[in-house]
Amino acid sequence: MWVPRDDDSCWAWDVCFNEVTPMSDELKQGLKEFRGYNTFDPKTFFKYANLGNMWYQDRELMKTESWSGIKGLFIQDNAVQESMGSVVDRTIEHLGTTDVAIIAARRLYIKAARELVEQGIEPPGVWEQKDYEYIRSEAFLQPATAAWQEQRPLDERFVAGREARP
Amino acid sequence: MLSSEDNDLLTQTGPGTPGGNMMRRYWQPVALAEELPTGGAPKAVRILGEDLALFRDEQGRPGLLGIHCAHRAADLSYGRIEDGGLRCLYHGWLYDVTGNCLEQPGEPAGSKFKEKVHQLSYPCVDFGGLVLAYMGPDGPPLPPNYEFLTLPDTSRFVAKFHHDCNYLQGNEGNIDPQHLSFLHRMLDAGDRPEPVEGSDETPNAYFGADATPTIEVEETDFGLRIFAARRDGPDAEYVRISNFIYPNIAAFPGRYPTGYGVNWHVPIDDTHHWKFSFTFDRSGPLDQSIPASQWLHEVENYHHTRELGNRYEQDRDEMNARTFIGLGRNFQLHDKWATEGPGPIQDRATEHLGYTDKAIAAERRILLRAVRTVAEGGEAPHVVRDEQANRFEHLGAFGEMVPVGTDWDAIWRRRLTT
Repeated sequence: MWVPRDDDSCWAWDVCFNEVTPMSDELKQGLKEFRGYNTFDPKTFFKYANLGNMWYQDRELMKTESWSGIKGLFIQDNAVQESMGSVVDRTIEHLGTTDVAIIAARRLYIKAARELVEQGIEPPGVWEQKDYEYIRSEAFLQPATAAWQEQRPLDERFVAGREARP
Repeated sequence: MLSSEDNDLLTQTGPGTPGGNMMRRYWQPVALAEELPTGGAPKAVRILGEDLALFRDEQGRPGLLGIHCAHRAADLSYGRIEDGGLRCLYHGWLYDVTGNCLEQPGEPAGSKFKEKVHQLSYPCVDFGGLVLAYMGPDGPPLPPNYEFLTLPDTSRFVAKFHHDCNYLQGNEGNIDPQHLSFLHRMLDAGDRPEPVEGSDETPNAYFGADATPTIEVEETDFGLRIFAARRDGPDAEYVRISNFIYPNIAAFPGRYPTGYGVNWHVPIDDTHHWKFSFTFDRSGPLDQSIPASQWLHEVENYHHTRELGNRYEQDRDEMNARTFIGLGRNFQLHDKWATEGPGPIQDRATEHLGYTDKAIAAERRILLRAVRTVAEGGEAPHVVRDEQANRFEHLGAFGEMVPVGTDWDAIWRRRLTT
């Protein structure tokens, strides 16, 4: 979850959970290393790997174990995102097929912001607390000819057009 | 003294500025050759206010691309050098040294989207111990055949130094012959014990003896030729000839009598610049450790360790008997102190120029003329596109003892090769 702190800095919240099985200490430690959780100062949250040291990119590592040369999932994300500049200039983009979700998300945000300001309409995604439990994200194998929309249909709560709360 | 409008024309060199448009008509160094070995990492560079990624592809060709990937602006300087170019880490888009997009892995097979995408790129060449780039219009001119670039690498020593100030302040320090009597003055013999050609005295002795040289300036095709003469008794004078070369280079007598020194001040942005410094000996290979021992003293990763934040570690005891200014014997540091003093961008409206600033006044006049010529659609001076014109035997710096009354132009004409 990305929470703006101001226009050129933000807090990133990363949550991993398992509804079924308690998480062991080894699993948590593994997540910390893989995702890069243990790479910031616990008092200041200042990242050890940062713009100033090029996220410790290691060109020798690039030849053997790490495609980017940067260790830690979150750190890899930080590197490509922060190195764009503190507020990326989107006027210079060339978006492609893989960016369809980004394009759709931008449309939703802009529409929601305009409707709120101009007409007072509450943004979508603000529901009764119990509804949030039904949001799902998953990865699965299916036959190549199947339609993923039919394999995992959207809960009817979330179908677009559902009325906002009064 | 310059009005603030004229000062802006010369100090502002970012994209789209008149000063920047003029500067971009010339090849400029973006790195020392040693910074871009084959198999090495790409480098993020900022030059003339533009952020770029410099890399050498697997075939050894240098490339200079806009640093923000054309896809969604990730930083290409972190990229992987492989498969014929530089590959962005974010989604694997691949560019060659001329900015062509070779691959967009996420796009469907057969997609022609990559033909519609061209990454900003500037032509580069390896030349003279440097990587040079051309950031201007109409295709690059010829890299200039200055002696200090064309002679063998073994005869040349080149270094670069970061400065926390606008390039013009550094540029102007080079064509100010009188400061030698003060800023760089050693109160003892210093490190230049060789006497001046035609004399028994060291250069340092002359600088100390005569603090009011006679200075003359003449305009040339390459910029300016500057004469500074210091008397040695009634019959002889020590004449030093130096050059200002469009738009940001100066040549002046240096350590080796059979060579000269050059400073090339390249804007990083309006408040920082790189000074590339050369010294060379045309008579044969030089011992690199000798200039290195002076110029690279107290320098780490191309930055002086003495800087504004520590008041350049000025030593007042040293000022009593060893050096005039108490900043050690690295001339590079002396110049850094002098050029950073006015601030990140010098306000030239408050100056009081004197006799010794003749060459500076001339340099400003010809640079402003060049800026205006380019702004009006004309050609920048001294941009070489014709092989026949790419020779500069009449450009060079040296010092010589001559009888008083010698025609100073005859001094340099005598040295021209036929």
